[in-house]
Amino acid sequence: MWASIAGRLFWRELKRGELWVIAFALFLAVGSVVSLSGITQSVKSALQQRSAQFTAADRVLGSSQPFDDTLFAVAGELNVATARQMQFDSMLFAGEQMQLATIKAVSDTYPLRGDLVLHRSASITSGPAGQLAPGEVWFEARLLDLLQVNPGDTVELGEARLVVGGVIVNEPDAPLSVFGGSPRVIMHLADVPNTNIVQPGSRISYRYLFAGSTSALDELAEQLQPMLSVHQRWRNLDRESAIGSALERAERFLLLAGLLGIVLAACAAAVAASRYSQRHTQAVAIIKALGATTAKARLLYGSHLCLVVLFSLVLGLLGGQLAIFAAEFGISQYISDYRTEFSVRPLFLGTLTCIICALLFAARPLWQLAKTPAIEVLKQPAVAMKLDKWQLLFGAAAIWGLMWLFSGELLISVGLFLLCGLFAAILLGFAALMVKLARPVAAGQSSAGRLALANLRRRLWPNSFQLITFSLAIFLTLLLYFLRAELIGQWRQQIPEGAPNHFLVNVSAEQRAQVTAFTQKNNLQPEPFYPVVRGRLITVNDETLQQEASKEDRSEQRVGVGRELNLTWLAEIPANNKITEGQWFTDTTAAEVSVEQEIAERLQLKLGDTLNFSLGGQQISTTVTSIRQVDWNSLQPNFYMILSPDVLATFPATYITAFYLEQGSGKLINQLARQMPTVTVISVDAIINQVNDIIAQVTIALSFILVIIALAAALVLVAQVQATLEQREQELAILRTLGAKYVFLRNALLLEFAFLGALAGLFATVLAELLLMTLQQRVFDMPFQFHFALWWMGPVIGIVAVSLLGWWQLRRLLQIPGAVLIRRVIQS
Amino acid sequence: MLAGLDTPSAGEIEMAGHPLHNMSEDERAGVRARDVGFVFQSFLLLPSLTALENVTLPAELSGDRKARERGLALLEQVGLSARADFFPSQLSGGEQQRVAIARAFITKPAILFADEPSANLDAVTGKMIEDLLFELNDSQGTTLVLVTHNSELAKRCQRQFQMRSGRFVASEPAAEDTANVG
Repeated sequence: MWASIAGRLFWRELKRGELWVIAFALFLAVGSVVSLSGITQSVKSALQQRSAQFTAADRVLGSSQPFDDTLFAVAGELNVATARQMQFDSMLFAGEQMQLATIKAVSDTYPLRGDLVLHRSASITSGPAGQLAPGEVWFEARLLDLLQVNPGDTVELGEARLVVGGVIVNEPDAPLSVFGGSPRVIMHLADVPNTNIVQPGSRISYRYLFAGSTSALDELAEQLQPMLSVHQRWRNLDRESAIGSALERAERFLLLAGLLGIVLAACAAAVAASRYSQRHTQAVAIIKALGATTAKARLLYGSHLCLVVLFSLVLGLLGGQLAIFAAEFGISQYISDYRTEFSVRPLFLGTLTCIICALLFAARPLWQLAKTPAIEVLKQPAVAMKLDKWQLLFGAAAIWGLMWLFSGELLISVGLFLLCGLFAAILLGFAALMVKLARPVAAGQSSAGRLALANLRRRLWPNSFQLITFSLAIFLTLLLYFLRAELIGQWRQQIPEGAPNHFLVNVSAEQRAQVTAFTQKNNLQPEPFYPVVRGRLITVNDETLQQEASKEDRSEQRVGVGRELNLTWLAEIPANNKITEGQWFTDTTAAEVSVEQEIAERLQLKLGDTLNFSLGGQQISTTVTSIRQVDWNSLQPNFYMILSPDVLATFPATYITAFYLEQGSGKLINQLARQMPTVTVISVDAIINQVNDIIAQVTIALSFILVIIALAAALVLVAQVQATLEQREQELAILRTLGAKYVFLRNALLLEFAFLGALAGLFATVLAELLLMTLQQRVFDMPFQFHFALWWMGPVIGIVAVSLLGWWQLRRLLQIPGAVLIRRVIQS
Repeated sequence: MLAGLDTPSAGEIEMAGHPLHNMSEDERAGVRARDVGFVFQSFLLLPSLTALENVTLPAELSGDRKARERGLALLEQVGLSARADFFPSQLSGGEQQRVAIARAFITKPAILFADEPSANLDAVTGKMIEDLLFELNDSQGTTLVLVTHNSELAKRCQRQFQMRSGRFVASEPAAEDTANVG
């Protein structure tokens, strides 16, 4: 029976608009949690899928030992698609010509992600499409020139004779390194035994490619983990992505900003719940007078609350999921074969948030409500909100719980919580001081101003709370607005307009003049030529390095790089490099080397170490004089080792350079390739487009959060104003009775809110400027910059938003004729 | 205190055989649910429920399955069956008080407490409410305890007690005369 009463009560009050602040606040909290976590998930998955296209698979397991079929069997059982890939360097022979090439042998199912495009011709821009089949090899275009062969000719690889099929137009997992290395060759895995190249001890890298759903892949990784030997290692896709770190930062920022929006929404729910229970004190007293026990009243209002929560939860989950679908649709416009995966995690997080909010913010007021004694029916209901210490405690606990839930780290949540507490305390102190100080000033004001200030002073504590929430809301809006601009600016800076998008590799010393002539003729702005000499790091301080990372039983030996390095020599430090230790070359005869920070850590190198390199049989000895930090996100030629010019200048080097070419200038590239067939042209347009897409997506996500925060902030304000509605009604009735005119009351009201808004806006501005300054210097490495716009935007937003919302809420109250108002107050 | 809404700081109250002074809030709620009806000066209807739902509320709270029929019958008796689905805010003061009276009678209480039932109404409506109250009181055989400043109204009761500043000052007719008050 009580359930039907609760149901009716819920439906009627929803229709009468009694519940909408609570319901909307909870809806907003749930909806934003679901959409935020879902959308970041989608963006992340989109990015992983993009990177998967660049690695031809979702997951790659690398090994130095031959394929282990049991691993493929496990994948088969889990419905994970697999492909095999072997890679080795070998000599190719064609008549008199021979050339060292990087051979990739792949199985039929390759590639699992992305497209392998082959042309049955010598050109990468035209010719019929080819298909990988046993008996054929496919060449990187320049290899045809180097070996002087044409499609259809026969080449020798080890003991096998293979027919040249044509050129590789697109190899999804080709190394993105701008240095290229040996020319690339793709062949079928079935032909490998015929070559007889695979001998014990030959250096071959085996790759297990896997693709499937995230859950199946996670399961696979878990099942394979105990089966893996020391030779087998997962290749991490995320870390290899050039923009992974930027996105990770953006994701954290999004979730944290979203969290504060949710906290605001939860505050609105708490205020609205307190007001709701206060307004229902008399109803509970009536029900109790009519014979309901406390338990029954609790059951009635408990189920009432459950219905409100359920209503908001369902709507919030639906709304959030819709937003996710919309985002996924948007992403699918960017990525051709984007696969969406439904995840319950956002829905779970949303539900948990809703329960936390409801239990800790709204349950306490309703619990107290049921305790209302029956005798209250005979009393005048109280209109002023009481400050409930337990409610504050529960609210604080809920906020901290939410912070923990979203940051996932105890320390961060405690830190953030304490920081918020500190902000609140400072604001509270300031608010009290301002209202106190305002008294003497107000003495000279118009009487409307005096009334406004008197109102503010009388509701000092609730007002201070309002001030904190308004300030927080305006602060977040400002911070997000300015930070958004700064984040986007920073990302754009990484790829400035006209940044080089085509790299020329393997330019010989003689070809430099030809390249320069070509760029001048076509009005291109080339980067300087970087000389490149390939060499192997052999010893560090006379200690021989282990060349193959996976070789066993030599664990005490220092592990080397395991491949040839691209060495360069430069007199000046590149613009995007920063010395972290030591000094850039000063002496021109000292045989120095500058080492990149990460590889220095990996090889445990320090200043003063002696590094010996082997360059085509010759050995050179250098001393480490500086450690550099390199911005790997920048699309510039970057080097692990930069040697002083005196060491390398005599070695025969090839050169690399880069220039910007507008999209769709394929003809020009072909022309260049014909003129200089041995030069490799590498286009990074794909990467640049990927970064731009991500910037666009993150910008949308940031704007979305901005809207959520603004909405939550407005909701807090509405809830706060509504909480004072009864009290204001009573006061207005008295003032009207005493003869106050409409204009006077309106001015007093507007002034009160304008003052509150200005104060909140000012606090928000100061806080935002402080935080922006810190972020600029600590996180973005940008010079200090004063945000002038902030200083007028903050207070103006405060005054306009708070006055408008306050006016919107109280306008009707002012328009009620005095007599009606007085009767209404007397009757209640 | 008589109705079990509050407890005395000293002394004893017994109502319909229940020692109210010794009972907890919830036990007293049980007594109120079974034996007591209320009509308040300011009507005190729940704004979110319709007239009919307000009437049936006490019956529903004690799990009466026939609440709806009884509620409709009572609304008929107070002349408001046409307004059963109206909300309190859509009813006049007199109508609201008639709903409150119907509500008071739905549990067939042994005692009905009426606190200034016509004080918030104009003279004509007030008179009508008073008539209705006594009429129903007669037909339902309930004991009516009526509190009023209106001596005319007081005279319609079988017994009158006068209180001044919290003390009994007079009682007429004599206490032993009648078993039923009202």
